[in-house]
Amino acid sequence: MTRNRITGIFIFVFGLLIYFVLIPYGIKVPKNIAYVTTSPAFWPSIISVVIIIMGALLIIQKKNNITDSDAEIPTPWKTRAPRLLIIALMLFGFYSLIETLGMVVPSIVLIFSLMIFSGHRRWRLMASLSFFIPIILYMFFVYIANIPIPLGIFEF
Amino acid sequence: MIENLTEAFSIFLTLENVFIVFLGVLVGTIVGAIPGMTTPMGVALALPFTFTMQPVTGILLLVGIYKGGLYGGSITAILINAPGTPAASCTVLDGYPLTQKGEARKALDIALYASVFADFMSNLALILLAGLLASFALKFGPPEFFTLIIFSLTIIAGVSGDNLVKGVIAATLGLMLATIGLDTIYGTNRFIFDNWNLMSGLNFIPVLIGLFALPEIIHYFSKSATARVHKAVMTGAGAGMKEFKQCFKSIFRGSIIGVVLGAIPGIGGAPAAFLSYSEARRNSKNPENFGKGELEGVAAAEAGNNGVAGATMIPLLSLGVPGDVVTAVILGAFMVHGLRPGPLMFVENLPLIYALFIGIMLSSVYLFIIGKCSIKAISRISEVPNSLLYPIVVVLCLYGTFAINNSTFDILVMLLMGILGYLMMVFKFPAAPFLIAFILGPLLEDNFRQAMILSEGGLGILIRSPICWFFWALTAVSIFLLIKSKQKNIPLAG
Repeated sequence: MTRNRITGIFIFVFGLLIYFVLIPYGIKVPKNIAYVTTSPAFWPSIISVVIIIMGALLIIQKKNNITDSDAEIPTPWKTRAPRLLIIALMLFGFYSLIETLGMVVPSIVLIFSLMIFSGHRRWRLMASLSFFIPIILYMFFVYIANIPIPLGIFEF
Repeated sequence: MIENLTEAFSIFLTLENVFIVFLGVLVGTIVGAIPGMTTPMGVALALPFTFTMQPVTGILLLVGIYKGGLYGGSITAILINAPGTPAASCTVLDGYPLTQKGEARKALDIALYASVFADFMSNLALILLAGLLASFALKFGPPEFFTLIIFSLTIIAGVSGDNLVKGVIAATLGLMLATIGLDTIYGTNRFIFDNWNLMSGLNFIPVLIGLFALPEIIHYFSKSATARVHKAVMTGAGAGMKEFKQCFKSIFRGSIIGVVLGAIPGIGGAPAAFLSYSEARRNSKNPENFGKGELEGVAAAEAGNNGVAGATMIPLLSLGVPGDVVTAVILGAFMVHGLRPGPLMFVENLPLIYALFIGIMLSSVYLFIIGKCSIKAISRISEVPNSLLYPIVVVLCLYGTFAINNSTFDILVMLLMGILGYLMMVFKFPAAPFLIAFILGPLLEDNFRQAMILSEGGLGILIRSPICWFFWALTAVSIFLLIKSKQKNIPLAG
């Protein structure tokens, strides 16, 4: 089975899920709706039907020579997957630390870690960029744009 | 007339006014270029500073920021794939591929030329056609808006790449995501699931940044160091008169589209940019190059985007109706100074209006000067190695996203959209249709439902006027042409 067909099945099932589960449970439709076309669920229902139809079309679509949809990605998934996991951990780690450590300190660490991860080894340049960029951004947003950037436990 | 003009010049021609327009355009360009700092935000931040200024000076500062912001959004869109404003998301489609090809300077140059030309055209329309365009704009009700947006959505087929089905799937997902939040008519919950952060729906900017900037960066870091060869991206030569002439038709058409759509309250720069881009692609000799780094694509998007700048002032000045958030803030500035825009102002304060027009025309000149002076330096960003640039871009995106609503939830949205964008990239789903549908989706649904309320549920209202017929006809022709051109690329199993 080609990758397009698998994706098509996923999209088809996702469309059904929206129509039969997410819309009934996720949208509150008032009882006094005068016309069905003004219902809050009308538009999402139409969209989900289109998703189902398009999913079905993708399933029956012939392998397309031009789109190279089934072509392999140059870097094999074996190498790619652990790296993707590390990136996700770094980004979501940053997000989870905002409440306690604010944005500045985690972003200093994030820039430095990403630079190391990308294979850069000019330590002094990396250290100064990692330190000064978040500080400059903080100063800009707080003192010029008047937007309070959280500092977490470093707030005085 | 001459008396009024002389008085207008005497009001405008002070060192303070000449400088303040320059400052406004400069600040606007910087604000627009920072992902997360939107033009309305810049204008709103500057509003308190105008309280102590003369009315013309204060209003020109805001107008300058507005115009600079519209252009500034294209800079990061072209250089780092992170549009500074929703309207600049159309510039990304060809701007970033041009940077990847080593033609960042050319892209920035043509974006500037198109922006300045469209801005100038828009100013001319404001000065000469304010009354005419305002009365035309008033003919647009919900059904007309609906048909206009339907026509704008036909661009999805144009940016779907080689697989139209995948493009439509991406667009429907964008439309679905745009329905999240409180229902605008009944006020009931839609896909909120008790998370109050979702009540006002998903903000444009985190979705934009997540969908365009992050996937590229995730893709870069996911490759092994040996596979990750830094492309020696040279800024290359800039664009000159030759390129401007090549793109002139698209720039001119985009400017007209921007002016007409800008004069209609509530439309904004994004639909104008997308429509202009779509028309440029439809009329191009090389439509297949669009989305892969076509200079004309950048020119058309920027012309459409900037063409709205002067035109949004038309309903404001001639009717007292603000067309978007920025003009609403500018209306506030008028009122702070005891002025009420509208037909009466043209009778009572004509010299002041003319003085504003002079300042607005000057802003186009400043836009060119500031853009031209900064391009050479700015385009060097594309020469910074990705291993240094991308970590900085990630943090810039994180700060910019937070700054929109001071919300960490927006950061989460951006990260999740980044993952979705990456998956779309891996499975070859185009991101542009998703984004276009996400931006135009709320306009489409709101106007459809308002039309249904007006007609008490009858669909006949959608063909009530010649404007509706015009857009339905254009939509039908577009779909016919698109299906014809795509037929060979979507073979179905028989």
